[in-house]
Amino acid sequence: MSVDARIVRGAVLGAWAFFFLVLWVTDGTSRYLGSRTQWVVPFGAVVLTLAVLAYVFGFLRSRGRAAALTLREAVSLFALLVPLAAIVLAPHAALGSFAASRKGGGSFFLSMRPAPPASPADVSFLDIREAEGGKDFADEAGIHTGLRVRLLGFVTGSKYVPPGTFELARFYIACCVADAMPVGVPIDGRALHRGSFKRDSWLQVTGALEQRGKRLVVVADHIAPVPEPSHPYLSFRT
Amino acid sequence: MDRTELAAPPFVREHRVSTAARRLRIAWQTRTVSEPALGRLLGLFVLLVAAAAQAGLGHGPATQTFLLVFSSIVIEALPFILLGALASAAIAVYLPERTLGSIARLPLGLQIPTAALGGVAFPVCECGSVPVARRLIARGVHPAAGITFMLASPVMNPIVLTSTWVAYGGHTRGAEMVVGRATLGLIAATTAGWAIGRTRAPDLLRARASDHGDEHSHDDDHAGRGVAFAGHLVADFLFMGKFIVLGAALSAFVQAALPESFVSTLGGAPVLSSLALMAVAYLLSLCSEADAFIAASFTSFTLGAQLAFLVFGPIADIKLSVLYGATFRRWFVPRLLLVTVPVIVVGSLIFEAMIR
Repeated sequence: MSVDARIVRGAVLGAWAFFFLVLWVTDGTSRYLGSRTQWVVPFGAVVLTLAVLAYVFGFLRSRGRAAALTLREAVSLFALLVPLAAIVLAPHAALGSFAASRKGGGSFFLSMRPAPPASPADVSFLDIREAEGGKDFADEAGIHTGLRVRLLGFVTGSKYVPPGTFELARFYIACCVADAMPVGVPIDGRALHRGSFKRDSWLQVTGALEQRGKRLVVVADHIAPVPEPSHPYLSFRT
Repeated sequence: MDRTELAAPPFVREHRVSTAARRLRIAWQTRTVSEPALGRLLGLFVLLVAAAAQAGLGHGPATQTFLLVFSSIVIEALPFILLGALASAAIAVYLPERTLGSIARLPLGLQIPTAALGGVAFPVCECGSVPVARRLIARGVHPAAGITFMLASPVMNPIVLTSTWVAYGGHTRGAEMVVGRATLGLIAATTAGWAIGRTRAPDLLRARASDHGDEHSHDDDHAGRGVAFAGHLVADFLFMGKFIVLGAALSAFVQAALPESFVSTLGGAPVLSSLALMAVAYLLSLCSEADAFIAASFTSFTLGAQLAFLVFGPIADIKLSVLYGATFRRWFVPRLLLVTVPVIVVGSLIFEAMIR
């Protein structure tokens, strides 16, 4: 006996509605989307749930008119479940040093001028990179040699840093992980740590800014390994 | 092996192959799935996922990047597809025939600019505009106007223009980039509409089972229309959704496999830099609401090349090409590229000369 296609369509739709609901309730959205597009998750959860209910209502009203599920439609409906399988395969993953090496490096760096930080304590990766490029912004944001900063990021293994330093970075996203851009700051931790830190390890670094060539380097006086934060990406402050 | 088969002349073998291929295609399209077969398919799917999880497939840095980019594009795009499907279903069920008829009776010279400016009133990105354009064309709006609307709305919508202004505002280039993007986007969309949309709807659109209302109730009562609305919504969402999945997978593969810096050496040459950034836009398949932030980061490229990236991306990229392929006839994507690429390259060069 062939399957009624409407039941399978409803089930696939229900799976996505359930997934959006779970993402919404568990606050897992920030692993995939930036702050400006996070509204799509509650929107998807609500509208898809309503669509499932309406579809089920329609199915119950016209039970006699079954639509047989063809092989082609069955495969295409399974294809819609593949992204859910991808999420199951890497449930707590975040972009790291590999993605940073693909997306950044060399001449590619972020040039979008952020709004200045509210106070020097709020100085971020993006602020430091912007201050490297423009004295106006550095003056406006109060970013100067000797300023103490505290940064939380992951180790990238980038070669584009001054000698004796390693790069600590965070990804900034606008809409989703596909548009993530790594922004890194060189860290000099030689006074505290011999050898190199493992790539992708998350560190909390405190230290003072120092100008070395064109780059602003954080000379660390405290480096602590920390677990990956629940919100691994930062959003643009504009 | 059968001697007679070996001895068969080439045209007989070709005939057998084509017959077998035709049978396979017919079986693929018409063979129905029984309950036990569906159970086996589901079991196989779960088994494959479990085996991949057991093998640690999601733990390698490259696969992790691929899986993350892939799933994030789908999570972001599906609600926009849903928004487009909502509008498409509303057009199919609630928009009276006479309204569409009066639009369709307008002279083409008026339909196209009206459709292009219609994007301002429909603030969704490119994924959402495809099902709407398809529905409009299927219900009588001229294909040229439908195509123009589809290509213009992801560029003309206010959210996209605002994000462009924000991304470039800090460099005091915001106004130029917004005006440049809106103008060149409008020109590219209307040119493409004129050039490739002057055909009949059946010659442009691929036929779909849901067009014939095979499962929808078209009762006149309120509940009947609600059910028909849900039916259209679900059909459009599921149809477009699977192509978004395919397009997102291709785009994520490119992002995980190719370093972005491979195009940085092309930044200096005017035409080449525009073409290079258009190729990047095609491969990355970014949402038009976010692409300005990425475009602004290509600092080794001219502003004209960045404009080409901003205008071309919402018109054609990997995921859109897959979506267009499923919505329109096979010739659509090559012709679209043939028309829009020269227009955008020339437009970006003029823009560069004007702001220099």
